[in-house]
Amino acid sequence: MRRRLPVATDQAVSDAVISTKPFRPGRLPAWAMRLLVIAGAVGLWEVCARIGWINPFTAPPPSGIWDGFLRLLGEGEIARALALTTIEAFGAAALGGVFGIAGGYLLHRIKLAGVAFTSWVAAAASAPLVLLYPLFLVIFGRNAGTIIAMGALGCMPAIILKTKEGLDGVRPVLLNVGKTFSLTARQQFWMIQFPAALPVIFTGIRIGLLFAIINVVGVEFLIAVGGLGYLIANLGDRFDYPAMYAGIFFVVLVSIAFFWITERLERWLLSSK
Amino acid sequence: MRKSWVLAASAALTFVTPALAETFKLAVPQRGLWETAFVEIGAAAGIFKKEGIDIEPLYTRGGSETVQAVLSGSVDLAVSNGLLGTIGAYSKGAPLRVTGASMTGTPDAFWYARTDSGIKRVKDIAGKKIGFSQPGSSTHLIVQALLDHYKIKAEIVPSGSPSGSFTMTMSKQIDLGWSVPPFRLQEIAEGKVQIVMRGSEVPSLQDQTVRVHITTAQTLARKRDLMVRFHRALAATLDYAYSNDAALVEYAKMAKITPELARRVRDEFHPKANMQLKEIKGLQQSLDQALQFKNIAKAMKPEDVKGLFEILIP
Repeated sequence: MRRRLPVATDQAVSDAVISTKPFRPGRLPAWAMRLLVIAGAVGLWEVCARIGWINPFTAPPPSGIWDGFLRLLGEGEIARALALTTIEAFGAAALGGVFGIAGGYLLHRIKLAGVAFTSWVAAAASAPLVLLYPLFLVIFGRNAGTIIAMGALGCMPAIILKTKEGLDGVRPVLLNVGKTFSLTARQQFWMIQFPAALPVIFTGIRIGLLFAIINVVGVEFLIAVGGLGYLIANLGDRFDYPAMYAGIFFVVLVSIAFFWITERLERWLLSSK
Repeated sequence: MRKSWVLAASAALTFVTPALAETFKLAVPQRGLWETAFVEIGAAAGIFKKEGIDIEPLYTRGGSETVQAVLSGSVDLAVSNGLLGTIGAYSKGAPLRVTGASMTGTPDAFWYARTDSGIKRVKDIAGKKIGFSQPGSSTHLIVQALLDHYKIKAEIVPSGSPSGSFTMTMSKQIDLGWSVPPFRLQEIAEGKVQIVMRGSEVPSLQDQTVRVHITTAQTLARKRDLMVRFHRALAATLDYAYSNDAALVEYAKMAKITPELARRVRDEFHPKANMQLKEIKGLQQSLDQALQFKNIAKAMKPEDVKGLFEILIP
């Protein structure tokens, strides 16, 4: 009697493939891979701190850091610090945005200035400008003024460079269309050039905001005034390391959140055009 | 025969090694202060060498930076560390040990005003802006105590380090800046600023130890003999510094001031009685202040921190 072979249905083929295919990490979704790495690192840290492989006083276990975070949340310290840092960061980004866009326009408009100073601005972007804080303390005093000014200074190079890039990169065909409609230079700029450059300028503002946050938190830490940076410094001075680490990780999360929000906003702006 | 004696003597000498001094790593905050200068004064006078100790200093900015150097094992001992911060770290499980007192009372801190400001006496400071280093610091404590003692209302403003405070005073952002000697003594001598009030004017603080020497329990167990010898040398250095003008010359060279200013720093701002090393005074007061400044989470008594103190001063 002839043996009847199994029918190769789609489901059967699929099951056979899955059962025989070796596991490859690349098949994991990206979010699962991220979660796995974080969970692994946290777990390793927890175990090492608990068994004493790393000093649990200076590097407390993640469970202790979580307790520290809940304590800060319950006392309202972290909410207050976040509010202050956010106001300072947005203030710095707004100030840096106004002067940055103006500076980028000037470098675009005055060709000689663009050739002479663009490389300087690029160099300033990589320089540790935060070290100028003693000068700003003399000018503005030990208060939010210094923090906002330093934040603005830190974010300006990125905004200047992206503004110039955006304006320089406007397609000539768009400018020619303006000329055919006999637009004035001012109309040409506001109706064609600036809107065309806006996506690139917005990228500059987004990068600038991140630099503003970094500088604001850094200066708060240095001069012991303000929001999250001051909170972290103060917790470290009090040797409350679980809460200090909680503050540090919170700052990182806030930066990631700002990045994500502004990225979504940029995509929305571009899609709505 | 003579040649063989020479060869035998040379061979014997290779086994004779000179006694080497043991290296002692020390964290020293705020270089230039009289209180932290004993290490260099004693080293220059050969007092530490007599105990077989070779000092290797690590200069820090003070505060938690110094404690971290001790906890990480980068140094064997830290001198002149704030007692409130030490208690705070100990209460959170840091394996610290206090081996001696460094400063009792507050004779060194002073507040000054520009000579053209019109502020000459304490009664002139009502309603003015007075600087202190940062919240929770000893200068914060002292300035609050001064205002309470004189029953004066004034605004206190964080002004950072002595140099930052001086900048803010001269740029009129604050009316009184704070300092410790030798800083600002030159400007006082030149008439640019004048002292208005001092930390020594608060009676309640004068019998309280404010700064101590610290190490970790592990280091103390491992290097106890070295620690005992260091503290013996430190006590000898203290006596030397207050009895021999050569110490003033050494300090003046280190702090880059004149010998006359060095003498003023020692005699006017650091009476020997305040530099006693053996006793931790006013501990309950320190614990109350540690609670006030959130160095500790709940009220403590001296018996709760008994394990923190292991005085090695002979």
